[in-house]
Amino acid sequence: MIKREPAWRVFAQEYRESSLHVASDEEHSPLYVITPLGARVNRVFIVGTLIDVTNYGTEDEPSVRATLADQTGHFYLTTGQYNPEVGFALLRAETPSFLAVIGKAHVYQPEDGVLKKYIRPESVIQVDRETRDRWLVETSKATWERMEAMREAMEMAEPSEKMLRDIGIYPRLAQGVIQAVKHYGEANLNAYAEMLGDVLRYVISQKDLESMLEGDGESLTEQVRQLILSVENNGDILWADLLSAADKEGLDEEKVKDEIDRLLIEGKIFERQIGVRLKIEKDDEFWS
Amino acid sequence: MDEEKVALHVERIRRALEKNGKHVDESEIRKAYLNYLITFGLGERRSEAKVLEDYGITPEPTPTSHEVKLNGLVPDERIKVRGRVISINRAVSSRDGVENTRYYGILKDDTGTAPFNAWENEGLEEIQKGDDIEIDGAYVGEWNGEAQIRITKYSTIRKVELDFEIPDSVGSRGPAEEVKLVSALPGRRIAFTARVLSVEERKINARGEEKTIYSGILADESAKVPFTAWKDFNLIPGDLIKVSGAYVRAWRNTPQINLDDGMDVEKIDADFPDMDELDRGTPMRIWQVEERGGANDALIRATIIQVKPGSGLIFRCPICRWVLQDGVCKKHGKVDGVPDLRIKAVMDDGSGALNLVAGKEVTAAILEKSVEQCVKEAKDSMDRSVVFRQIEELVLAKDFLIRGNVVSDEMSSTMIVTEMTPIEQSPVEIAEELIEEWGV
Repeated sequence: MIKREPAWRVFAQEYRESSLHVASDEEHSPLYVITPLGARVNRVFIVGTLIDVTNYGTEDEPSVRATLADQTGHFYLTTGQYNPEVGFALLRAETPSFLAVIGKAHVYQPEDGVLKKYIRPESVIQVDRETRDRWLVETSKATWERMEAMREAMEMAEPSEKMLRDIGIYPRLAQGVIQAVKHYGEANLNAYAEMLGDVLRYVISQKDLESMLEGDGESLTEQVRQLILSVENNGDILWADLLSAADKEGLDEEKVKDEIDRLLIEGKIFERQIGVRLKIEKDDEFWS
Repeated sequence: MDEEKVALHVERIRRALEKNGKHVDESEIRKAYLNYLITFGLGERRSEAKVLEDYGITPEPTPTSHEVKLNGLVPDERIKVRGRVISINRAVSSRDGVENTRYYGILKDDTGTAPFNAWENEGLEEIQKGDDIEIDGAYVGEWNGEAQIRITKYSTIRKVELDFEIPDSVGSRGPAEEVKLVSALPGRRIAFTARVLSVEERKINARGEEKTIYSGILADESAKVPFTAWKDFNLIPGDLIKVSGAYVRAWRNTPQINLDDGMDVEKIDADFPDMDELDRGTPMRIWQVEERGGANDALIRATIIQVKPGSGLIFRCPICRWVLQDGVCKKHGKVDGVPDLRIKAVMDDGSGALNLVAGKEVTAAILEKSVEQCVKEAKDSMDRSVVFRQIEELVLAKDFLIRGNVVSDEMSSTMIVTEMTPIEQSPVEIAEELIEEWGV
């Protein structure tokens, strides 16, 4: 069976601090960037804020460089003519906005001892803040797992892949950790622990932001809820009635429509006849 | 594709045809060869043989190979082996409407046992469990770190009388190894304790003879594995059994346990996870699934990193269920398609990646709408891909708990999804827990 390369979860800091890359002996010789914690990166899954996009190509054949920032540093993205779709997608994206990128490790060695590392996106996906936050905690977990594996290896007199596998470390990571130990020596685990602490505290600090945003949302929801209850008749609501009531209340028509859309998606309200009639289930707790 | 290699094979076919008095245009050979090689994905040798066959030429039988004992199999060697068939199974798969029959099982001699796997070899049709046979011109391959006898269509198989005794104990492997089910890999002979999660009686027709077999699922806390019992052990769901000397075979490359005469199957009473605890999907990571080549009722936490074409609203042939292309079925032509929903995607948990296929129910649950609603939306927007885009929006780059069975072939592993639910716990909560746990 051909195993697909997994998409490693790494923070920009760990990727940036890598100075080792290897080409495998297999066909097409895929490239691996070995990070100080032993991630054997051929493919990555990263999520961050797109902060900068420049097109060095043409409009039809974009060659794009972009910067994606996470809470620990920057990833540099490059695209070429072989995958113009990704270039177009990056050019379409707003800066700043949250993006998920699945891509391949790519390096450039201008001189000995200098290794510039890029990501060649295979696909880019617009995501929301929650997806970004989820990536931050999941990537923290993956980083911690590598730190644990590295800790084990550093305690072994002569660490080997087999010894690491025997204590339950998965094969790809065991291989990467041994390569990392040979190249980097001991990893600075304290520095990485500090990095994880910062990332996790950042995620928690989002809670305040969340309640601020939610607070705003709740009041509009409540206003629209009252509005609907004021015009409903046995659960039936005419769009025309609703909009004229909103107008009387001085509510923005677009905002009310957006809110109704949200309620439609949540299944709190149903559209009986598009643009004409809505329906609510009065048994639903939400309406009582 | 390697142009030189193709030219070489085409030239070889041309010469072989010429030798048989057939003069065929090179471009025609090339077309036929590439059709098998690329369209059907056959190997180079197979494609070559297929073209020759099309012109009515049976490739020359291959020369005999050296005889070896089963404990001395070395990968890549061409061999002749003799032994007793301990188990033999038949599997039919179809690809692009072409049916392929595969036989696989376990062969045993006086030094050990080895799994065998045969494609397109009619010589095995007559062979039954317990037969003593000789296999000539097979290759030794490797599967899951174990030597495997690969029988090709050019291997010859015949029944023979063995001039050695087959020992009762299973050869050089010694006593069955006590394992957890997660380590039940094909080809192994194992001892284990497990609970019967389900069992059903099936009547099968074995060479005109009706036979009752019992199949179901065994589980311990490490994994779930399907089993087949060829005799009635009076198993009922909930039973805790201790088994010694069972064979693990591969079914669609996924481990399966065979219970048969000559094995100790004992019902016991012991401290063991109960039915509810076991019937939950076994939490696994993708690297473990990759190692095992498959999994039964696995529960994986992963991110969807790609939604593949063919996802969303599809239409199937009402007769054969094939997916229609522009309203046309490959077999039945223009038909009234039956709408269906499906997600084909790649999931990745950082340790590995797996394909997944989710059917109507799971897809409808993700979309929170029925097939009928999707058909309506597609009609309203005059665009079927509207559902594809909705799926992308709902699943791409998002994390799910995904449950199902994983089957593998030579190319890839695929989970057939039975449940797919978004991760509920908020990132903030997880972050708070992790800070506590790690002290960072």
